[in-house]
Amino acid sequence: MIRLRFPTDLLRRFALAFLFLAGAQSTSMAQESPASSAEASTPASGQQESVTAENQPYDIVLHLSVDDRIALDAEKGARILSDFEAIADRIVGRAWKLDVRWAEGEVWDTPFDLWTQWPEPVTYDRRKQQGGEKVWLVRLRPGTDKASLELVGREFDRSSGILGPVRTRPVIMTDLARGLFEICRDIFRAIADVAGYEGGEVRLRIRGASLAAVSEGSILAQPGQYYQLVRLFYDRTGKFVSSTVEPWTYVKTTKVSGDGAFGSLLSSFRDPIGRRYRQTNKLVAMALTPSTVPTTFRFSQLLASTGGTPIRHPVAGHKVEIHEWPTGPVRATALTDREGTLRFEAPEGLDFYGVRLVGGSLEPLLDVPVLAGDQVPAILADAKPAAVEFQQRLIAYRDEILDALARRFVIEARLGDRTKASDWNRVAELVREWRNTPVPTGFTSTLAQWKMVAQRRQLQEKKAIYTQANQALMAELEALASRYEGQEIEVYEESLEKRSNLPYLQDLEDQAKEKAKTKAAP
Amino acid sequence: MTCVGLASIRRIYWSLVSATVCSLALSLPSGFGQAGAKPATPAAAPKLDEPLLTRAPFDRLVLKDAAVVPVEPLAPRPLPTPKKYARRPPSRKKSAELEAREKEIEKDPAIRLFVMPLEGDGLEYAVYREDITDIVYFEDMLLQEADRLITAGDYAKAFEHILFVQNRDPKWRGLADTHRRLLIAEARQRFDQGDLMAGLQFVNEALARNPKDDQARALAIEGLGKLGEIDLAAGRYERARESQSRMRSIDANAPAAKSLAEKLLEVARTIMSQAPQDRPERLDRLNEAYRAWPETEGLSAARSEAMVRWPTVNVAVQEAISDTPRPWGASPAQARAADLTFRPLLEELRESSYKGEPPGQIAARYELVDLTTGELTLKPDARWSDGRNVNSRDVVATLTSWAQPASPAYHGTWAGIVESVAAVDDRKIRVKFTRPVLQPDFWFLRAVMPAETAFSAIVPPETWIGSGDFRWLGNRVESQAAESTFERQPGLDAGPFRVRELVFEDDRDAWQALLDSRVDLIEHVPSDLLLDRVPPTVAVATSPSPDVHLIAIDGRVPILANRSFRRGLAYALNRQELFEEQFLGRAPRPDEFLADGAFAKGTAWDDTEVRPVPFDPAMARLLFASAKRELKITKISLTLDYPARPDIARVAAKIADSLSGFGIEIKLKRWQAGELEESLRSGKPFELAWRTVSPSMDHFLIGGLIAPAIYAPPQSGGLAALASPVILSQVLSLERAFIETEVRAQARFIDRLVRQELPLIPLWQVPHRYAWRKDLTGVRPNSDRLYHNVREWSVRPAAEAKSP
Repeated sequence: MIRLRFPTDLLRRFALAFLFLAGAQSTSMAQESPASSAEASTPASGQQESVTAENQPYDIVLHLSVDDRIALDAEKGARILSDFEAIADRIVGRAWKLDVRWAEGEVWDTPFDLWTQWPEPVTYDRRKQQGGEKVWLVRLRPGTDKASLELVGREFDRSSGILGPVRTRPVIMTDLARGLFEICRDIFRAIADVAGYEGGEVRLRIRGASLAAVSEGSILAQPGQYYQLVRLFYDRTGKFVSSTVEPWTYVKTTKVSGDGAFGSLLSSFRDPIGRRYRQTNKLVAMALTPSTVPTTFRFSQLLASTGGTPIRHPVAGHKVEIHEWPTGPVRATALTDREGTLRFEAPEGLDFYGVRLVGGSLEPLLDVPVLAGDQVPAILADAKPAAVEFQQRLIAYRDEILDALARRFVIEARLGDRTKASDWNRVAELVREWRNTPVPTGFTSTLAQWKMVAQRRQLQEKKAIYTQANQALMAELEALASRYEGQEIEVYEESLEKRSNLPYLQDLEDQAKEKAKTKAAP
Repeated sequence: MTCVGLASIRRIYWSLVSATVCSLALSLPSGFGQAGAKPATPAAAPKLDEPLLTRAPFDRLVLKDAAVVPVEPLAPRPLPTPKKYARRPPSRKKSAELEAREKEIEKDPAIRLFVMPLEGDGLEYAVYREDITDIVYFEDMLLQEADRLITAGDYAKAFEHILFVQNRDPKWRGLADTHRRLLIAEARQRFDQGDLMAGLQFVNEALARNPKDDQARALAIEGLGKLGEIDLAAGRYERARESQSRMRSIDANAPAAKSLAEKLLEVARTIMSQAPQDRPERLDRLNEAYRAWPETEGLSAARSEAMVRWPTVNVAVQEAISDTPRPWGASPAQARAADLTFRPLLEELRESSYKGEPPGQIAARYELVDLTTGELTLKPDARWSDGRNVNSRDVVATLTSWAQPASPAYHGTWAGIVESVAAVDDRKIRVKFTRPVLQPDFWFLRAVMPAETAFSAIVPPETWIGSGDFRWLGNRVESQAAESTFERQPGLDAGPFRVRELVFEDDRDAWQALLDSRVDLIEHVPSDLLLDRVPPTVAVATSPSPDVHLIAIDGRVPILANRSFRRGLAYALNRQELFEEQFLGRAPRPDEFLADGAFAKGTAWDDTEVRPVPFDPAMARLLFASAKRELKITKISLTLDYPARPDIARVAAKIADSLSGFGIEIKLKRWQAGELEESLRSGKPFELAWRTVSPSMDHFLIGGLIAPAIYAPPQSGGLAALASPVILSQVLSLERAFIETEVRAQARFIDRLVRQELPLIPLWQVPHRYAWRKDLTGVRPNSDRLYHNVREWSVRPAAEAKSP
């Protein structure tokens, strides 16, 4: 988890070092963006030549371990692994250079950060450099019901230091090799250099893409694949220091050419690729397969405590809308729990979606894109309490205006009916009733006052109050208030005064003519 | 009209000249007089074979020639006795004055009648009374038919005929007799069929009409005698005595009454002789004997002596526990039982409690080590009812069970604030909170369970143990009654020896039991009680927290998650009418009013500017239509769960009725109050549910007042049951509040939001009153917990005052 966070501390240290040792000159060098010039930001010697990346296979070590409750000995395990290698060779070909290990009884002496999703504590010693650019940890364990089995696995990518998401897949004992291959496909994350970015299109050079697949099911470069952008940071000597995943940013490949792929950028940020850093860095993309594994979101907000020290509070009990990215319809709604978390399992067919956190009834607090099954970092949101409070007041007022409008409509309908029937006593009563409804100018003046106060408070307190959603709501209310204001019943009063329904009938006729005219007009 | 009738009428002396033309036109002779000024109303052709009940009323005239003429009902009814009047021939000359006088006389119905035959020309005719030999009124015909039906055994039809007469004229001659005959006949039939209660109802009605009716008296004694014997055999002694007493009131020397009295006395003597000498069951046996025959020799003294030795308080409650007591139970019955049988860690949120001074608490000390850590030290003498000490293992298990979603004692708020609970040593427990918490000691007001059963939903009676001053002896459920008994722990000498809770579903029955000294205390005074009629032997007190009645809404149901629909519901209910006419049955007092939310009026959380939603059927219709459009549905059917209380049942039925007028079908489902509340709090889905909440002033529990499932385990989706996300976020934010003033401001904001968003339908607020006989002393007059200071109670051995 730590690796995914933004390395502010490291950056600060490097910045200070640069300022002290090299001055502003080195700073300008470090701000080179890999997107604008991928070659310029390429790390120092010792790294792979990006030109040959498409021809480079992935050096992968697979550790398969088996739960004690499953009767699978090493001999049978070796047979399964052999079968698995045969399948991988047939389908993926040279792109995967596999080193398959039976991990039963194997003990690593250093804690390996597998987050909390890993079902069993597994240890792994990075210092020993046991080989492989990618390490796949796969475990066979009993499934949810006693009769079934499932494989659970995840990938560790050494070059970026990034641990991939957990994937699970049900298997049957007789077809374990195929199941193993399937889960390896799920956890495998192809790496690509970001070779260019123009007009919203990202060009990727996918490692191993030129190693021809031996079958049609090539898993390296296909249209419709999703990639995450990962920024790798290096020190002055070109040694890899850390990496960070560009938050809420994905690339979806649209077409595949011989030497790479083109993809569209899906992000909640305007220009995540062009983001500038003081430290030498390189932007790469790592493939990510959508999955039905639930994604856990954790929303929090910063609040000032009594001492003025900001503290984090969960954004609890807020509505979350799952919608089609970027502005598609809402597919599901859910609530955050007491800890501000939400565990969401994407429905079938919704691989990529937007997560919109809503404050109050309709204040959008944030909207981020998420790939189904991805593991996302904690989200810091501004709950905008003042805006929500103001919004609730507006909503309550909308009810009031709508109720008043509806009451007038009901009275008017009755007035029309009674006027037609020349029931003048009832008409007189209804006119009185109508006159007793709230004064129209009351609504407009109140709204004007509220608007002014909200704008002033927003400026003075520097808090979000008169937000876009509230502005839209205010506009709706003003329209309703003016509609209410425009209602008149003179025609009924005139009819009542003359004790004749002719003025009313004449008015009806005029209205019908007007309507017909408007309809006829282009 | 029959030919016989017309022929007879032809001979009647005609008196009005103007009738001639009409008579000729109708081919009638001039002998039949017509009151020509009256407009003719053609009568519908009657069918003579049509049953009396379905045809229009009519009377029959029997004329001198024995002809019977059905006519429109005569007036006045019955007619005055006929007078003799010397008629003169029309041809004779007379003065105008004399003529006028004669006309005046002839208007007297004792002399002459104006009748309209059912068949004929629709004209009215004048007939002299001396020409009529008999008048058979419609009422008489009905009574004759009723008599025939009684003889035939068709009592229901006979009663319809009698009712018809009663509606026309309740004082009609012969009506009372016929009715009496019906009652006696029907009672006899019921006795013969073995349905004594129903038979006695008929006899009682007959006796109420005429207490000196010998036939009814004999029948009543016969029925009561048989009923008394049955009740005696079934051990229903009060009812047997009631039958005996009733027999004596009918006939002091009735042999059946004497026989029943002797048998009751014999039973009482037998029970008394079998009562053990040195066990508390002696009082139970003596009470049983007392129920059979209070006047048994020596019984009163023996009972007084037993009451001094084993003082027992009988409490009338609306619901008793149905299984073993558990401190986390949601029902009021469980809360009361837990007060008796378990001790809390802290009794009150006071310094004295933190120092361990109250004897009724388990903690000897409580201190806040830092902002997020609290430390509890247990009293060395705190023991379970099986004799072992209450230790830190029990407390750790209990506090952990409140945070485990699989545990029945789970509480969402606690789970959110507690980080760890650890035993420092055998008596010291350290509780680490996830963050600084406002008043964390609130949680230690709850009682502790033994470690072995802390996670159990149901504890078998044989393994149940408690830590309170009382131990639970068991529950007894019979067909009509239920009770729970609690006995003082051995070694304690303060407070009553036993507390027995007796269930009275209807508050009015409980009140009557209090007046009759059958119980010493009632948990809930009926809402329709007139306080100025409370006898001096009874004290009535009001709890600090009133009862707020509301309809909870499950936001997980799509239609109920719709804001327009909820607003429509609020507008559709005429709550003022429901409150006054159905719930109270009288005009409300100043402390009884419509509620505007879940928070009680006058509390710090109540926003005084919030007003209840008015009754507006037109708006409701519009909002319902809008909700149907939004959800694209045409039919709405919902279930309203309600607790089994007669007053609530009345209102629930009326609500269902009135909402059906808006096209919303409401199915009613009756629950035991405790079961309903437990089901709601466990997060089980519902639709609409009637709740009576007593708003406690603790901010941790605000959400539970608005949505009962809010503290349920996460897997139940209880948070989504709160229909408004904006209120939910405010409620959860309030749980994290750390400053008292912030809590108040936020609670008031929530109160306003509840009015706007309507995640519940507020109904009304009434004070919660309880009452006790002044024989029982020490009861606190302003407590939210009935047994709060039970060890200070003492019940006077006024055995002679007790009349079961």
